[in-house]
Amino acid sequence: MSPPLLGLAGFGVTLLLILLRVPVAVAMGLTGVAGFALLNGWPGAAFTLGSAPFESVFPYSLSVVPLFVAMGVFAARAGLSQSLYGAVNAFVGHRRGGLAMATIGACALFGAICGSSLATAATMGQVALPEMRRHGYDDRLASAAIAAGGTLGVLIPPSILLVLYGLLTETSIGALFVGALIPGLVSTLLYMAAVVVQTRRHPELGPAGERQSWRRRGRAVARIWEVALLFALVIGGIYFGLFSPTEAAAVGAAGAFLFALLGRGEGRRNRARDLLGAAFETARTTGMIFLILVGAGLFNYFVETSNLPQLLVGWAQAAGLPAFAVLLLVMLFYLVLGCFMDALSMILLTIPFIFPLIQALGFDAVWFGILVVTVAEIGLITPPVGMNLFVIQGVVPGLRQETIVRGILPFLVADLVRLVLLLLIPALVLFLPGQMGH
Amino acid sequence: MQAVPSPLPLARLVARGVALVGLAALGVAVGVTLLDIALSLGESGIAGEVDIVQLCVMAGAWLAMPLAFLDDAHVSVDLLSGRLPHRAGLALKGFGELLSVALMALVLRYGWDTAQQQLTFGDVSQEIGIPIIWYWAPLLAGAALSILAALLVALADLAAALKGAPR
Amino acid sequence: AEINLKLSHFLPPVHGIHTDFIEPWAHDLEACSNGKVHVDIYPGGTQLGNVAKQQEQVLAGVVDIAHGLTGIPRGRFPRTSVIDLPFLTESADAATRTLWKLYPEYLKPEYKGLHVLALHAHNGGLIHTRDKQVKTMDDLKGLRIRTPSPAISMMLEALGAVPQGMPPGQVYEALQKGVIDGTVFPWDPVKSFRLAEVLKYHLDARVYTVSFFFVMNQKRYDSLPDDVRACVDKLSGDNLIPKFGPWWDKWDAPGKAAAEERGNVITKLSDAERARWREALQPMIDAYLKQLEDQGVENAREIYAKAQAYTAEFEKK
Ligand code: NA
Ligand code: NA
Repeated sequence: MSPPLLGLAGFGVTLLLILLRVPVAVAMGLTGVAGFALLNGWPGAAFTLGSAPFESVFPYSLSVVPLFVAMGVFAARAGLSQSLYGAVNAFVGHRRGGLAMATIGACALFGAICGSSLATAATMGQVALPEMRRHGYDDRLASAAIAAGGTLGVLIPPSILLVLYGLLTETSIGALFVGALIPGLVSTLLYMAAVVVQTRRHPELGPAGERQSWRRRGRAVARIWEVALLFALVIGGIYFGLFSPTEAAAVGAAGAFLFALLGRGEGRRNRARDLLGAAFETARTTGMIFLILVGAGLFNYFVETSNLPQLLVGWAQAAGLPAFAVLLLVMLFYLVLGCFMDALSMILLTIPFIFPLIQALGFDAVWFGILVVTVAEIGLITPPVGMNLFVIQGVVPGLRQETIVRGILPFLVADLVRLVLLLLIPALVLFLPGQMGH
Repeated sequence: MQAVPSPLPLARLVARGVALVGLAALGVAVGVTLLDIALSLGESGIAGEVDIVQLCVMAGAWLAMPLAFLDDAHVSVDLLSGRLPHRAGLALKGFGELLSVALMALVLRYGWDTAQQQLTFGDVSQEIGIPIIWYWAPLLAGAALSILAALLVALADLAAALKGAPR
Repeated sequence: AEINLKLSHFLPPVHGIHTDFIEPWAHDLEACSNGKVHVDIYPGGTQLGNVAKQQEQVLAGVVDIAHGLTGIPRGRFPRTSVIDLPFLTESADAATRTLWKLYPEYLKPEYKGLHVLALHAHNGGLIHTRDKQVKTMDDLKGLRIRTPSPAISMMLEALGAVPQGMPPGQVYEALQKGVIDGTVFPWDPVKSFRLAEVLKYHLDARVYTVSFFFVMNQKRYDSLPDDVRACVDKLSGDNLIPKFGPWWDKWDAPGKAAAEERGNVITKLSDAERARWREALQPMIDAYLKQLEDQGVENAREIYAKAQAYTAEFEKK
């Protein structure tokens, strides 16, 4: 078997192992080692085993990963999600589908202090779903709004996916974060539009709630100062060049921890137990992410020396397709792959051979990063393997997968509209980073 | 990613204790970074901030690994096994966990060699010269404990698959 | 091709080291061998492009040829690091030729298992600052300056500055927000890392250099057929060494141009001040050599003396 073919086969074997419920990181790691041994002999594979587990955790820039994880987890324990939901709800709750719009808005705001989609979906699921059920919302709309809203967690900065993309491709993390701001806003508005369109056609999905007085609105907004402060410190600090990403993450983690320690979280009585729970959740997620990084490191040694990336670049150039057509194919590839894989592993698995191609075609790395995260994020809500769909199901006992899947379609349409917008108008991504710092 | 009630309370207790050590290290990383910001407002800064944060993240990541194995926190895809009969699904899960044991064993075995080699090189951290073996210690400990954790979970799942009992 | 060689290095594919040196070198080897050899290049940004792993992976045979920094991980090449000491030379050409002349007699023990194709070093580095112009030693007092190696850290301390270690990729951000006041670097990162944007003053001090290795796995080299080995020989060693001086001049030029374009202030270190620095740094140089002796490099002082003699000789040319 020629090396590139072996690389392709390795990719297939990895997918097969993943389908057989082998942890994604382990599937990538073992295939990587085996493939590298076949290509370069066992001593070489042994070297990669001594190298990737260390080097995939060691780089200083990776320190933002556990810190942003901690920031999100502790912010959730601090009860910030309720205040966010209350604040957005005070303004839109009286409209048809208003609570679903409030869910999406609150997800976007929570995403502004949380780096992960799963955490955003899980957190807002606990707050928003009971509320929507109480107001007679159909589970179909309610659960889908949370699943879709949750994906904003990873697009709106801070975002762990963008951090990892930045590290993998040596793109500025600050520029990626700032570049994601407008796309994040656009997707929030599009999701809200999806709610409006649905409830106009089927009013029974989301009946209107009571209108709130301006005084109550004011009070609700005042209650989200913690989130506003954290976001201003973290993203403002990066944008204005006050903090490096690591410093911003440390400030954010410390702030969220303080709010959880002192704030008005629901578990006031069991604060110690709550904090410990948050700590273990941070540990589990940190361990999970870094094991994927280790697995991806091992896998990348193999993919690289199989020369599959060079082959793909060569094909794309030989086929003579226009650059934009290749980009569309890449997006399609990610949309399909996203149906079967979770976002993080998908990016780590594919960027090493997709990015050289994108570079060879001369596309902007920041723009492409936002595009990749956008499609990866769509994969979070596409069946059959949509991590957010699973998470909602985990948070809400008794909710059927079919119910969520039926409700998700309008949001997928909104996602595709956004993807087209980003493809056609790169300035949506590139304008703000262009203004940054200088 | 929900925690499964485990028949392994002692293992979980140990894994949580180990994870807490790693989390404490992450706390140190936050503290050092914040202190460095504060001192940078003045005229100094912390010597070796980068080295210390890197050491803390190595500890935070690798000491969290056993808990992630015990609590099934590692991302896996339930697409097929969710549709299989219960026992077959458990058997598949156990198979995946055995492969995890294999990977961690390889990491431990060859990580150990690399650590030895770097020890003979006399490697130290770039800025303030922390011995590189300090960075390896949490990695090797985390990998060793992960082998045990994944093995325990695998045995529990495979036993349940054989007996047809829920785990 | 019958023989596939893997070549790794840690610099981005846009860097001169990749475009002017590594890539043409690989092509020349392929051409010389009449297509018998094919070289795959793994630059910085790839898994094999990790700066800290270049020596280990060529020793392990994971790649066949590697280009890396002798100072990362630190302490791997203590003898070679003598060239890092301040004020040995201002010119990449002299530093490179000196390393090559030192190699057979003095440096070889550090490169066990490796067939050394070339050693080289960059032009004397500058002190770049953000807000404060540095003309004399006193101006350096208390400034936080980013340092690339232990020798330079000791040098900065001896000059009164506060050395701060950090990866090169972070220097831009650190300068932008004032975490550091300046950095030592040659000219080329001023352009390639866009540092001209966040710097205002450049002191053309030319006080230090940093060295690089370009090596092949010894077993792999020995296993090559005679004609291919002849090609490798033809493209390395004495035939490659003279190219680095002009190359480094070329790679530095855009950095200086970028600084000039932004209207930054470029100052040359005066001869009188230079003499003052040299004197102030003598104890530090002694301390560094003492440290090397303690680490088992018994002839550290002899290597240093030879390096001084050789650089003087080559600078005259
Ligand atoms: Na976010
Ligand atoms: Na999906």
